[in-house]
Amino acid sequence: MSNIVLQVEDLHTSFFTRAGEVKAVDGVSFFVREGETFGIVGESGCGKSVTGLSILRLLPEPSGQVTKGKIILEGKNLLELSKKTMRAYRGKMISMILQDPMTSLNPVYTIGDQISESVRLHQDLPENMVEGEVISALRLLRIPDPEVRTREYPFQLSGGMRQRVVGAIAMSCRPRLLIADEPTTALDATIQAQYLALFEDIQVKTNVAIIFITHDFGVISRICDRVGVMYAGKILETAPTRDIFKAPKHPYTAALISSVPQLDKKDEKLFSIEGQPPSLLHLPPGCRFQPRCTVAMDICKEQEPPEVKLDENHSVSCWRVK
Amino acid sequence: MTRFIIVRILQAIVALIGITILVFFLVRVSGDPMALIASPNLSEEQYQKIKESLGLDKSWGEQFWIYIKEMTRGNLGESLIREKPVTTMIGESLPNTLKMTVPSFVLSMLLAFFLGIMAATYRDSFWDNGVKFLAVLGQALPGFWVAIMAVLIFSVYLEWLPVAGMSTPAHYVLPVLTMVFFMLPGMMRLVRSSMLDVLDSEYIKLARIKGLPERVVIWKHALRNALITPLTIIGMLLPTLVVGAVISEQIFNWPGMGSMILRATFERDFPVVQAITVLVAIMVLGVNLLVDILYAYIDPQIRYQRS
Repeated sequence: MSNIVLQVEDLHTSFFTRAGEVKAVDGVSFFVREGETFGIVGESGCGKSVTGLSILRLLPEPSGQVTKGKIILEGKNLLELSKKTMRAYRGKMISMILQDPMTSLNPVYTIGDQISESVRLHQDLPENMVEGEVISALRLLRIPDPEVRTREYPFQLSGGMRQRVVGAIAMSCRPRLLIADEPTTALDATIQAQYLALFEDIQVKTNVAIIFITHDFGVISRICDRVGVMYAGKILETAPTRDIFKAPKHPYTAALISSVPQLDKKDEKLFSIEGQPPSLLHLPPGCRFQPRCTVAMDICKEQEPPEVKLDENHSVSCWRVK
Repeated sequence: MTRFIIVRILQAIVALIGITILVFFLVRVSGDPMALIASPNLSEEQYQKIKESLGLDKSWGEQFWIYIKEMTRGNLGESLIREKPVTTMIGESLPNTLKMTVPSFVLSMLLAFFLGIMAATYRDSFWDNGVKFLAVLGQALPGFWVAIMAVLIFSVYLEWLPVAGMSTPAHYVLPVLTMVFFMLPGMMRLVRSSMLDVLDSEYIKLARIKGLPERVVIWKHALRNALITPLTIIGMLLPTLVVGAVISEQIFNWPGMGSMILRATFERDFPVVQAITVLVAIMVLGVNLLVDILYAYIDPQIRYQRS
């Protein structure tokens, strides 16, 4: 088994608003190994992006704060680092790819400028080697004619190509951990498939650990080794991808998987989960999924279920699972 | 880009010709200067003589022809009242105006950018609230009232500064400050809101993800994108540097362009009004062209669309 690159333990992140404390991430634990892709899947607003931003310590200030927990990257707790050290980690040790390639590149600087900026900042290279590093980052993301692209501006590239550039920026300093926050959501289906293939390729070449945030189970099945199902700020089930599709243990996971459209089932009404996710300001008592759960019992409304480890890689928080 | 500039210069020339014609005839529609120049006791003969000497006896068409002919030789005519060439009058007033407006403008812009950027960076802080308060105050209080109050407090009651005139550096303090008070708030608000929009964007998030220091995020990645809107307004402010602040010059008895155009308008001193109006038109057209070129410099997308 490879080394663990990132270990998140009991992470709590809250936003302090006028309406009160919004517990966006409420006790999340997971780990990612070297060369592994860990998927975080969940509905919008379940706290998956906030988890990513918490790891980078880039929560919107001053309202967003990590209130509890540990984020350990290769033995160092990121939450204990000074601001300056943390900044040196960003882009070098940890990188992130954002959702919308149309807005995540700065429109007034060339692609070359935007990649070389990272290279200069984090790698102590003589100036004449910077260009080569930039080209190699573009090559890693299989961007055609990298020498020409470096002189182009974002508006001259297609959405798919821009997202590759964002990837090239993220990978330019060969980080240990890459957080991909819905990187394919804004792309066309065909481009999406190409982009996902790139991730596998990059991982083979660099052995980077990837956290892949998405709401799309199709994407999860395509590239994740293990997956955590997140709901209202908590991971309800963690398991290897194959196990979770074959035998989901948590009712929420099972419901999510049955609501994925499948081509071989014709003329059937698509399954959907009744109700809405709870407000993070006022969580329901007991299990947070209980109001929407079809198999809820009395205890579910009273006490929060503990995490049960079924085996080394599979754990679930549900009273139904013993 | 060169082609774009040439086209814009040609357009500017056409506009300038139009403005020249319009101003020439409009001032003449405003009334007869003879009514103000000639005393009612003059005999018909004397009256005609004065009219002839000022060239007002000719038809408007003939006057226009002479005006254009002289203008191409660099002669803007002579004041009807002061019997001085208009160019000499502008030569005397313009430096006075610039001495007040240029420092005010530079000071306003430096402060507007500094305060606006700081307010956006530290949003909702004590600092930001101060800037917001100042902006609302500045936009709500009329400039002339502030100027008069400043004179009343600092010159009349406290006797720290002179009331009017421009003989010593101390004379510059109040006029410059009141002009800053007029130009700063709007600009500062604009810089702030423009910066806030940009700071909210995904590419700023990405710049932080890259590990860039906040200084680079703000001054390199955000500022250049936030410049477009303020630049437009700066372009619109620049011509006032030449015309001067009409009101400020009146209050502080400042012998500049603002005082001159006000007087010339009341006295129906056609050549003076024409000259200043055309000068302002040239300024506006020139500045607009400059702003357009700067847009292209700041935003590569504009640059590419034009070539």
